[in-house]
Amino acid sequence: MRRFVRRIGDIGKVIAAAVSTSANETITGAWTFSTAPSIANPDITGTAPATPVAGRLYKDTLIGMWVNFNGTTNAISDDVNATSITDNGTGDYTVNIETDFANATYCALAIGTTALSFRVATFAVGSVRVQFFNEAGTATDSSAETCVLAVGDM
Amino acid sequence: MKICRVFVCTDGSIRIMHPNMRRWNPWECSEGEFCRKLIDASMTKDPTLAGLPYYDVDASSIPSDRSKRHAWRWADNPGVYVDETVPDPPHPKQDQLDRIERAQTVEEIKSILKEMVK
Repeated sequence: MRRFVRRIGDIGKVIAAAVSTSANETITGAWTFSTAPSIANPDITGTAPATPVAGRLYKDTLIGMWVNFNGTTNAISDDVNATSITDNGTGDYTVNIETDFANATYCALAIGTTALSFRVATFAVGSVRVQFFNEAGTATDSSAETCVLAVGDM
Repeated sequence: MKICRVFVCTDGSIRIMHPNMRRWNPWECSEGEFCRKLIDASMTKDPTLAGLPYYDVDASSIPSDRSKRHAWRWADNPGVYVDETVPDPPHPKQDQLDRIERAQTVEEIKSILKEMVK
């Protein structure tokens, strides 16, 4: 019985080794995990088809850049993939991106807690320019919590 | 010392690049060196900055009052300053505001207000 248990343990180690892949191994087929697997940095390589499958990740549906910055001091509070902010004028900012998007047809959104509306003035693979306006349509500085995010293929 | 880069546009207005200081590791290089390296890399990402003259300045020298941001200009001395001769930008609804000022009767004001809420 003890030998049997040890054997079962060995089999478990083999399975664990097979599932714990190194960077270049590929798992194919549908796998079901009894507990949610923890995956540190998966590479998502597939692009979304014309009819995406619900709940599936595609590389062109991932957020490529987001930043939370102060619209007055232009200091970045938190970010992913933003290297700097260019203050172009009142309510007019360019977020410069570290790892470029694959093209300039990604989607970008911006929001602040004071300005009423925004527009994306320029899309470039390595930067995005956003402008904020008040109720009267006048350019206005955004708030201390100004957020810009961009989604698309990188 | 945190450094920003001031780009001078052809119309005299300025654009100021602020580096992401969250990325600075004091064990790797000085604050100034970090800022210059990051800004050098960043400015290639924005094609609209190409060819514009630029100057690196101490971030603390940039005015904190942004109420006249449209009038910020560059001079070698003192650097970024407020040019009081630059006019304020026109209010986008200035024409309607002027008409309200000129209105003589309630009917005229009503007419203008109706246009504004359309």
